[in-house]
Amino acid sequence: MSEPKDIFIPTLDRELGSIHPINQVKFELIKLLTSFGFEVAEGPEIESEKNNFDMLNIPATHPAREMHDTFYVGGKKNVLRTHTSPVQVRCMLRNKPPISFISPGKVYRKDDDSTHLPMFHQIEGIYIDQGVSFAHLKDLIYKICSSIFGEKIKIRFRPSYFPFTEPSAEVDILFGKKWLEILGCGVVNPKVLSNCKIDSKKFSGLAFGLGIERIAMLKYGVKDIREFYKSNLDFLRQFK
Amino acid sequence: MKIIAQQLLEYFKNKPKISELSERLFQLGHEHEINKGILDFEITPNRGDCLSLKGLARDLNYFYKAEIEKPIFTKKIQKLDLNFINKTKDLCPNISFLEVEIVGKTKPYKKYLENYFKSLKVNKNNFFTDISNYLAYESGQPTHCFDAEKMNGIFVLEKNHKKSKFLTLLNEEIEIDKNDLVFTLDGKVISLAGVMGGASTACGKNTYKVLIECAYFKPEEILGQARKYNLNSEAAYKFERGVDFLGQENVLRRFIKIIDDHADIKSLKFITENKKNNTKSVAYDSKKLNEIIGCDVNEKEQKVILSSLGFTNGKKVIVPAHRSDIDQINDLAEEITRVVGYNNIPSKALKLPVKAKKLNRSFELICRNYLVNNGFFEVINFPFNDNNDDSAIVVDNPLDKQRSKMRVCLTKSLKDNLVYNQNRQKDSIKFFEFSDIYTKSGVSRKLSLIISGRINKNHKEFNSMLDYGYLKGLLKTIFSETMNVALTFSSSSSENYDFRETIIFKGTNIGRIGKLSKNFLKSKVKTPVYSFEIDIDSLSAPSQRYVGISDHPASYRDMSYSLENLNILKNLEKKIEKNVKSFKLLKEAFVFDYFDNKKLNILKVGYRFKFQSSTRSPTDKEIDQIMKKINKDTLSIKGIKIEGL
Repeated sequence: MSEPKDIFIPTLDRELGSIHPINQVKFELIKLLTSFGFEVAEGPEIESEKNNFDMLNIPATHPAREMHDTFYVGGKKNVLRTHTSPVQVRCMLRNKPPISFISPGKVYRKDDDSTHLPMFHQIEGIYIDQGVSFAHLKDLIYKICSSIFGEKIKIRFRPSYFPFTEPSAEVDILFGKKWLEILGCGVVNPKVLSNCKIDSKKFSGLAFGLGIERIAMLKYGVKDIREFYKSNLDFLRQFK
Repeated sequence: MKIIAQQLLEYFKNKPKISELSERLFQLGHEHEINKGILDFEITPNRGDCLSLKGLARDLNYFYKAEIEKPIFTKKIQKLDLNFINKTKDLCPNISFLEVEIVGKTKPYKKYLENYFKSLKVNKNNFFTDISNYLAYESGQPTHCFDAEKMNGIFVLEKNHKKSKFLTLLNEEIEIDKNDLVFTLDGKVISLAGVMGGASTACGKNTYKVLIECAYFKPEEILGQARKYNLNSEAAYKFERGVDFLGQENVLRRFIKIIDDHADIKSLKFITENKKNNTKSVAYDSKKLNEIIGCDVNEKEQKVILSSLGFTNGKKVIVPAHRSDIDQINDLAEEITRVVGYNNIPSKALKLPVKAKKLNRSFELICRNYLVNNGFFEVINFPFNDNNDDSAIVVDNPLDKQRSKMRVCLTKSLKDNLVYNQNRQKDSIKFFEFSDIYTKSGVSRKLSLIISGRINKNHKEFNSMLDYGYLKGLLKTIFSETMNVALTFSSSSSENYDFRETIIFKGTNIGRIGKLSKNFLKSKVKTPVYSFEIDIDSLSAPSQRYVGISDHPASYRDMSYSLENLNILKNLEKKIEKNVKSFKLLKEAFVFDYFDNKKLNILKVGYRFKFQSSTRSPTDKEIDQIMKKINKDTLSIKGIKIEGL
């Protein structure tokens, strides 16, 4: 018996589109972190200097506040936020501990070269409660890294400096034979808690921040960060 | 900052291997690379005290027992009678001067000094400046050497009175702003304080008598100065990060010792001015330290660690003058954690409190998935461009003129994305972007789509082109399927569009849809381009409610309308939509056939009507009555016929 003719008809293939790879990673991280118990908070990309710097213990003389590092808008009245931490400031001012928020979003720095872009994405998290310590932070960071890169991933903590955390750390993962910086974190600086009307003698907190482009580059093997923003169809088609 | 590893190792009684030293430095937070015995550091900005051999040795003291102090000149020095006025004691509270005169030829540089220039490839200059440079490397404290023979006059540290030209010791002319901190001689600027000295008083090969200035400047006063004048200044880098505010005399005594190692000293004179003497203190609380870290480091060990780093223990911990970064207990906790090792602190299980969450249907999420399933690619664009819109927010310090304003819409960015791909021979382009748009009137969340070219890569759709009907249908479907709302449209115009309609949602203008004009597109490719942009701020997908499904069969009626022209179709749609809303039995109506033959002047639209009841089968009579009403309404439109009626 011969096969029915229908099976030889050309098929009606239709192409799927794709969510932008940066958003894909962002959504995955949101899903992961909300599963740990964090709530999602969002805030404006145009921020006051007060929320972007002062409240976070970044003094008026800090180099990050200079015109060559930060975009100022509207006659130097406001800045394009340089991190998503101002969202956490807003959350702390609005809520009483225990507080656990993540803030994903676009951030801006006055950079434009092969490894730095004027706009990129971050996801930051904060948890404020009684008795929160650096050891708790380590547990959370291990969970985040092993969820993203697999349980066998090797990570290390290095002391670092952020005005809004003390102690501060940078976290590297062993990628092949190289240690790659993956996120910054620390115990929330009591000065920041006090600025946000939280009793720093009673409460302590932990905070962390990841660069989404960095994670996406490692996850997908993209070598040049600028590829994400060329909107080249040949590039976007690879992230279905 | 580069350091010769061997020179650092010389500080320690227990000399480790370089690999172990490197690990300890990482543990302490001093990121670096090693290349042929040279450690190249990226010291964090809060650790100005570690920008030297001495500083790093001090930080490693706990592990290797460092002999931190190098030999110094210890004898009493004659007082220097200097005609110096410090008019800015608040900005430079501590300053010392040493006048040294040498005689005869200088000796070849000793190994420690020669090694610094050779291994780090630092250019030699003149005897005194060479020692000054080495000493900054060794101690972290910059010094500046004036040729003493050129220093006759009234010598003042002050704020610059007016803009003035200044020739640096590197022979670069700069114009120093009013109010910048400067040293002047008889009113003329001879040094940009803490940054760079001037050519007029610089030492040379024949300088035998030198006036060495050694100061503590308030970091904020020096911050950004080198960058402002495009000067490469190691001194400014150190002052910006803070130097030991009590270390000046010791450094100058070390300077004398190094001179003494290489030359015969004829005379020495010294003067110092110290207004800042108070060291900081932090209340010591062993329990609190462990609470911050989250592990048990016993009190004795805590004190050993702090002491090894130069802190003086007691009820209060006295902070050494070189640690400007320490002023609270969390800072001490970081010190202890660094020495214990961040990686040696056991982690403690963290459990966040569980909060009740409300699950909402997100319009954006549904919409994004729908578009992706229909072959659309999401793009993300930078928010900067150079538009002429009055509502655009101006960037005060843009990267360049082309990125001097915040964009006021997404369509232009998508247009650029489309043209970029057209130029790369892409013949089917479907893009969308969600983004917040910031203007002078506030922020709004937008969705924009752009389409051009072939519908798809299959034998039925390859030769069909993306058109206005495709885009408008997509938009209507998104709203009818997710919001259960029928959009309405009204004609509007703009120079950026060949034709355009305003999109109306529940009586409110939420955006625009249309065919983009060639002038706007500026593309070599002639394929038509369609786009819409809508404001999605107020849109939230309603929660879903189950409605019982009917087990009774549906009945269908098809109707073919002949239209005199396409303009009438809008009225026909309205009449039919109105009837769908009016009759409970009429579940839906849609265009199932569309025939347009311009040569034969035939324009036909076929509508299918679906009738169904949840309780019974609709009768022919009921259906006929509804169809009669529909026919009456539709035939009232001028230019519409139903063949056979």
